[in-house]
Amino acid sequence: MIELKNVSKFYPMGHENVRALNEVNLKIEDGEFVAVTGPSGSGKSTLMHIIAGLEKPTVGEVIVDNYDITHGGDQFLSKFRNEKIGYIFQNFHLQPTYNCVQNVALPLVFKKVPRKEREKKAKELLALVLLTTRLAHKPKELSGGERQRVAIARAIINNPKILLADEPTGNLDSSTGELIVEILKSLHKERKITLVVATHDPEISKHADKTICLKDGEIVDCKSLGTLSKNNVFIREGSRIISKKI
Amino acid sequence: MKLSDYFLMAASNLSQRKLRTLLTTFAVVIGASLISVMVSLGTGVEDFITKQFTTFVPLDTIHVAADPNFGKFTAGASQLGAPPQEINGEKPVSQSRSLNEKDIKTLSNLPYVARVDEPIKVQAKSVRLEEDQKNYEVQVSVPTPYKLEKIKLASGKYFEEKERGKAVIAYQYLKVWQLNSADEILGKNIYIKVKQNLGFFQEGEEKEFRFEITGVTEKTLASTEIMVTPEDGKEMARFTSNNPSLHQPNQPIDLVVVKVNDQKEVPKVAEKIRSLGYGTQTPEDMLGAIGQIFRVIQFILSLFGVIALVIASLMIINTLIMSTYERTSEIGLMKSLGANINTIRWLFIIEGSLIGFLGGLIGIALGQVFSYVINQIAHQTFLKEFPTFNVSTFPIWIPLVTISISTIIALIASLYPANKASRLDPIEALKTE
Repeated sequence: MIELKNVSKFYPMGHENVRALNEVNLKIEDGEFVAVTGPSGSGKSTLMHIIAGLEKPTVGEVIVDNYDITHGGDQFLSKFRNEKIGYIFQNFHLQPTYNCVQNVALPLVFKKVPRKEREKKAKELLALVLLTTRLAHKPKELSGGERQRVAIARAIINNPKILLADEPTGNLDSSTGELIVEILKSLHKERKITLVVATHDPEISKHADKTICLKDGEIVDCKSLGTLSKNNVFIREGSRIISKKI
Repeated sequence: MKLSDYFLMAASNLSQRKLRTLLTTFAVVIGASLISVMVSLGTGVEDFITKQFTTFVPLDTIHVAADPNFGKFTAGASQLGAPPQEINGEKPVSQSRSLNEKDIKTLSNLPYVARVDEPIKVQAKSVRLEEDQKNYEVQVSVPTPYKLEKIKLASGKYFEEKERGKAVIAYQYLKVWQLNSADEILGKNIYIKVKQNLGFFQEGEEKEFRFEITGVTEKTLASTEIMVTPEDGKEMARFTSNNPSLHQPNQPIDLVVVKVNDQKEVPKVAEKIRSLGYGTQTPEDMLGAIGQIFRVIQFILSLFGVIALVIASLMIINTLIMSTYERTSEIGLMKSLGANINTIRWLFIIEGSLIGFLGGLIGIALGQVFSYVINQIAHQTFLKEFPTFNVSTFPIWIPLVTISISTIIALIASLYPANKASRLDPIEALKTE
């Protein structure tokens, strides 16, 4: 279970504090598929970072899988990220000098798993994301969709309980994006992973058990953001961000 | 992370930036090769001096005198450079007591003592070859059998302790007597001229002693040495000192040389002798000062190498800081995947240390080559006469120490960049592309 109690996050910017999250309270049950949506700058990424233990909230408490990660030190948090969380980035973040197997196996390196064992596991997962023919390829030799599949394999190599995906289809064309969503969905279903996806893509929200809508760092009623369909875009109007049909 | 993974990852990172790694390593190579060559030069020369010294004074002997202050700097004058010492009552002066038969017996009976000999000193005036009229300078020495054994002969053989009229001459005499090989001189006679020393106002008599040459030493620094048998030596000493009782039984003795069975026991035996009220001087005492001087010379010479290594360490710092900038996103990723602060820190430290180790290794190899070249040049020029002497020697500790120094300096240099990298905020780092 993921629980955020009164979580706020401020970033100092010049003499002012920019508020990225404001008094966010939420609960995500084990095995749930949750979409987090909202316009750019609404605090989706910050929320994901805080759940992943990559950032600490300025105020409030974060409990993930019964661990209070608000007060954890570096050793605890890095172990937590390594073992409990799988994280998928919008721009993949693969190591350019490593091949697919080495990229997927990287989290196991930090867990001191012997080389043969981690390579075996990495190959199994690359097979799962249909990349058996790409094992020795480096990221630059792969398409965007293939890169994201490598990133997914890497995210699940430690059998995490929670999979966080930050705009996983943001850099992909729609058909490739669909494949990624299918993979995420099947992982959620077959492995009973708690899946949290931050996205602009209303297609993803449709599949989710629950959608959390963020605006200016606060959770809002999704209806207030307008119906999220393919024809809707968020645009900035003065200081406000609104959803508009095109 | 496992140690092997650290090394693999560090090596892989370094090989990604080959030219930069190579240039930084090259700076370490210069420092390491300088240190190794400088130290090897110092060691070579020290080695040479020590070897020459031990032909005069074997390392397993102790000089013993009745005066307990014998062998100490403080016996006559103050130690060089030391502040003046306070004198309570009488200033300690050297005692004039001599050793006698009883003392020799006491010393001979000590554990580990093989034998006790009285050194025989002969002041000779000149030497000439039988068929030659020219006189040449000479240092007559009377070696003990164990000392004689250690001297390498170019030709001929040693004389026996009880023999008379036999001599072993220094190699350099061959040249002045215009002989091409050492074998030619064996069996020939030489005459050593000595003069009675009767004090300042009286002219002493001169006398020539005849010796048959039985051997020629290998070339050493003792270029005017001629060794004669103990009995001949005593006779010459009695003549020159005009003292017929010199070196006779029951006569007082100033100094004896104690031969110890095992070189390792020398300090213990010396300690024991001192505890009996005698004064001692061991070869270590004498060599100690030489060693210290060479240590200082080596230190000053290796400072050049150390300076080069310090410059190299600045390059390592620069290389690694550049690396942290280039790899910011990678560091962020590793942190997000579970690397902790120490993992990142060690990764950079090992990268830096690898540069130091590699540079040290190549530096040593290069140092060996330089050392070889220096020796070759020396043997063909100013050391033509000493074929067995190397100006530059490479004992095993030089590579070990040099590689350790270069690795440690590199490790220290990598601390700052490593710390900087490890403190990067993963989110900020991931934003960098």
